[in-house]
Amino acid sequence: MNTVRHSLLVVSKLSIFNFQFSTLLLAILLTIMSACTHVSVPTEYTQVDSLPKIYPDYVDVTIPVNMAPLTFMLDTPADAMVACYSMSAGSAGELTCSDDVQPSLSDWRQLLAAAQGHDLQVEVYARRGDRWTRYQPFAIHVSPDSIDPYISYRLISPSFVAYEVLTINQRCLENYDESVIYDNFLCSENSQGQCINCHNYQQYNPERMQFHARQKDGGTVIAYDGTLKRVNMRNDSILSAGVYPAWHPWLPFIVYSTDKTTQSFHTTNPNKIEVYDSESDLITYNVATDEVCNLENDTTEYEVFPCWAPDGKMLYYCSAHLALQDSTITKQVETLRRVEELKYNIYRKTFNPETFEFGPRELVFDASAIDSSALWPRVSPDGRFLMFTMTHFGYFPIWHHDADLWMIDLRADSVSSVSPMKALNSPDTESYHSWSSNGRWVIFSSRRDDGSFTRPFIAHIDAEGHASRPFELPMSRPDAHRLSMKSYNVPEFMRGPVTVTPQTFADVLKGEAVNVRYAGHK
Amino acid sequence: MSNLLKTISTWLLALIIVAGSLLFFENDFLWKTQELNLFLTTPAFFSQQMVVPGGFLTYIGTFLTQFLAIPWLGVLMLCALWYLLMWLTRRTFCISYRWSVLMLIPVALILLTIVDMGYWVYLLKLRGHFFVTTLGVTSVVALLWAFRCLPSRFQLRAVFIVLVVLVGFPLLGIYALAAALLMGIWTWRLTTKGESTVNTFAAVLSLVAIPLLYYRFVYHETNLVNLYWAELPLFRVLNEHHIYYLPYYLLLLFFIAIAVCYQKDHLSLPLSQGEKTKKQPNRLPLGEIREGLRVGLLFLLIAYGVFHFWFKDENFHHELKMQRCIDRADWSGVMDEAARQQDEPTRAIVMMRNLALSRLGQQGSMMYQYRNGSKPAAAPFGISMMQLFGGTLFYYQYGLLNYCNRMCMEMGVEFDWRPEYIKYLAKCAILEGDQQVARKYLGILHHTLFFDDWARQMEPLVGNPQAIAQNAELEPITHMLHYENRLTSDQGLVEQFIMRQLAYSTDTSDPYFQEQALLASLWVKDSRAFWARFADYIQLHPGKDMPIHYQEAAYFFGSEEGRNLSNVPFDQRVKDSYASFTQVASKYDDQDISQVREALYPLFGNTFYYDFYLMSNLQPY
Repeated sequence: MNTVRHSLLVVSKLSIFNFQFSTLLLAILLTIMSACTHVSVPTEYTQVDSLPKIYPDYVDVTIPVNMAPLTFMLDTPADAMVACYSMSAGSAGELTCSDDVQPSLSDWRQLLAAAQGHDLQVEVYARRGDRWTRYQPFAIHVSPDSIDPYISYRLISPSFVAYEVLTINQRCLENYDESVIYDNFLCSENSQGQCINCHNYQQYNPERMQFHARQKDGGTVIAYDGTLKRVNMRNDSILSAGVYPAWHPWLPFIVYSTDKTTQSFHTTNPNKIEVYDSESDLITYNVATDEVCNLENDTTEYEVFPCWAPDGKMLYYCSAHLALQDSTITKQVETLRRVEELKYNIYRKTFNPETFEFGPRELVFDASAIDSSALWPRVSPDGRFLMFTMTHFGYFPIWHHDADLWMIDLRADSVSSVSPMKALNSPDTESYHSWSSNGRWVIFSSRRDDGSFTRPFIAHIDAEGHASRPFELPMSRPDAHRLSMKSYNVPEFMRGPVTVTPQTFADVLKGEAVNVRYAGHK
Repeated sequence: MSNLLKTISTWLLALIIVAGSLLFFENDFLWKTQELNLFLTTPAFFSQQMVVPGGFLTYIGTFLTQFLAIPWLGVLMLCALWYLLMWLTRRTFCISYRWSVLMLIPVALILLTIVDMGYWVYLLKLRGHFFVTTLGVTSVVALLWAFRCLPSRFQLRAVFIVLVVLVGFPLLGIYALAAALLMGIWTWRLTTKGESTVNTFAAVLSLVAIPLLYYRFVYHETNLVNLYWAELPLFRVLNEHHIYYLPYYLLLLFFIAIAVCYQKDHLSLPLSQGEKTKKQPNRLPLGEIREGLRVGLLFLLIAYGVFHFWFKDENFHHELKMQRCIDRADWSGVMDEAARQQDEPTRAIVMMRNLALSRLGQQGSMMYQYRNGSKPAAAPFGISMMQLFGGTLFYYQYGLLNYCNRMCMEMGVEFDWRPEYIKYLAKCAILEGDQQVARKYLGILHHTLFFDDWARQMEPLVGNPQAIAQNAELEPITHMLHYENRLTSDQGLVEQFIMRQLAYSTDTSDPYFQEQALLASLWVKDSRAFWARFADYIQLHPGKDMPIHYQEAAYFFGSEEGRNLSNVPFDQRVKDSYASFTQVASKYDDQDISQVREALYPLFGNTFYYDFYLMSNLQPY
């Protein structure tokens, strides 16, 4: 009511200009703007013992000091809501919002700057009819550890085979600005579509990136300090064009898995689909010379998901062992029949950055021994922790409801150093994850909201590897993810935005491709 | 009657006929159109439309199309817009009343873009197409009127042309370009040669360069190839189907013609002059008659043209009606429509009919009483209609919810999200007990004007098996959730996939599911599967009368395999019919199957053995 009164007051003062339309617009604008600054906190209410049910769930989460405002809404029926942020419970509210809580950017930044290293107390009031209810306050912990300002991800509907509009987007984490890095429609023509995937950066550097385009104008786009090229990575001596990439931390050198990927569909299983390889290897690609080499191509091993240690001297990857037994059927059919036998372990190889030579493989984590499959190894920037996804079988955990995040302390040498990330996991899928450049944050994919649509969650990891309660990527409107039919795919941190325009990438894709040269086996 | 009244009455008569035709003959088409049209009342939806040129037109088009949920209201809005278009066209080009019947031509052409679509309704990716052409053409004419009204000084008209493209292209797409083109032509009838040269130059330059600038700096969701076609439906699948663009070419030609003819002859006169002409007293009745005849003839010609190109395919309309009945769980309605079938049915019709029979508990005794067939859909593109609309419907109704979910996702990605898909996704999620994602889909539908009520009706079913058990639509599907899990793919063959999954299902916990398995064993024509399902059926229905088609199948397979059937109490008519069939069929050995089909249909078309021998290997389409 106070808000309305305030707005009316503004309107009456401005009416002397006798310009009713403008005044009305201004009044509406002020009313909206004042939603988080001039809302009065209810003085009469019923106190309840429970926490408010809000969406997204930001109760007890830890956020970086440079995070965009956390908007949320009450997830239970109510006629109105007031939320009050303060430095401590019961103190005067620094920031008060009504209904869908959408703090202004400037107010929020001031609040976080003041609360750095401390907690924000959030009091939520809900009105039903003419009665207000006050819930138990909850805390939002404001970490002084900042987060990389940008993330990028592919937006894709959780479809199975078809794709139409695919975009690789970037989002500023300090506000809500989102822009398109590349859109496949720039090259798609009617029935000749284009699939894009696997965006990847060298050490969070947006000027050194790559992504793949398949089918129409296909190839791998490499952006390297201002130069752009489309690389045709197909070669008779390697299994397929490069798929899952891993940039060396400083060398112009990328390791890819090469995969013969297939998908089949469950008739009734809630996982709905299995994506699996009938063959896979590892190759290296030299960005400077356009040479490719086979790195691992044992036909009984299914190597995938390479990942460099931050020191550039160790390459981690996953591999499953499956010796085909039935020569009367194709590899694809036999793999399909035995898909549940595909249990991926984590291996590593030493690498000499001066000679570009790799050492023999070494088992890091034997997931098959516990009847599981370990995937997506990612080493923390300090080199101490290796986070990975574990699921019952296979290598495509995003479609497995049992998939969880696990972590290995690489400094420890006992089995107990491998443990699930309980603070990060939910009853539903957790999958792709990526460390921030300072190693204090991870962003990961989760389907915990609804079991079908992947959303990025961010969590704080301290120096000892302890994780805080994660929070969902905040959006300018709290219900944005609920109304979106797209999933976030492969969220990656970046130190800044990609500045190459989508149209420029399209020009590169439509131009001549550079063919790779095969240079033997590493 | 004054000329004004004559004009109004002519236009209204035409619009009443069109509205009546749409409401009477195309009511199911209108229903389907709005089922495939999503308009959300969220700011994000508006933003999503604006990322392509002409997005504003799409936004308004989808907004108006949703009103077809109340057919008379949607049609009334369309007719009102058409009236506005005719009025605007006449005013813009100062066309005299005696030629006002010509204003029906653009309306007829726009009507054709709607009613000649046929199966494209499932395939078109242009959202809001039902209203977009009308809105676009009306905008063009309104801009032309403004162009004419501008004074001939300071190169205002040239500036206006540039502004039309600059501002209009993001809002109206190709219609802004069309407006600029027409201005570039019309200017030669409106202004001096010098000014016309400047205006035409401005028009050509704007409509070539400005879209390119937008492509380079603004739009990233539009390929250069499609840039100049923004807001036109793309009639392309594997090939271009140019014939469907004909109404658009003719529309452009019409406006070019009246622009060129402007003030050149008697067709186009300044309005005031024209009206003065018509107010002259003592006009000869002969002239009135001649004028009436001319108007009548033109009216009839236009009407004939529309009638000729109107898509009147019988199966297309049966399919729409059946889909609508199924949507309302009106199974008797499906059978009523099946009874009206004259032509050879498509597979989708046969499947919908069998589905209705199964829901009514009559499939085992009735399914061969109706004509079987596999007529290809009257669509110019080679895409399986069964997949286009049958995939979601049949997978859902037959309880293959993962596949329904998959099909909705695939179609949603391919053709953009449509209420129909979101409804199926919500129903699948409710049946599978995925409460959160069910709420998500229902939450999206809450942001629509006409599917909000449906979502509210569904909400109590979320996480409530008791409520599902009392729901007329969902309850039968709960009986179908007994498939074994298999990791496989349908290869795009919906009917075959469902029937094969069912025919080899051994679950006997639900008699309804088991009977479907038995029926599917007849479809796959596999005697081993049949005997296994038949034995289960007998066990589950002790003491009940055996439906005739199961008897026919058992007697047929038993006879073919030399089994001793003497103790089985088959109906005498089954024995007699089969004996007669074998005797008559032997006369047609080595004859063309289609001839044998025709010859034996009157005698045995309602039997399993006819279906077994003569309706094998039907094309799935």
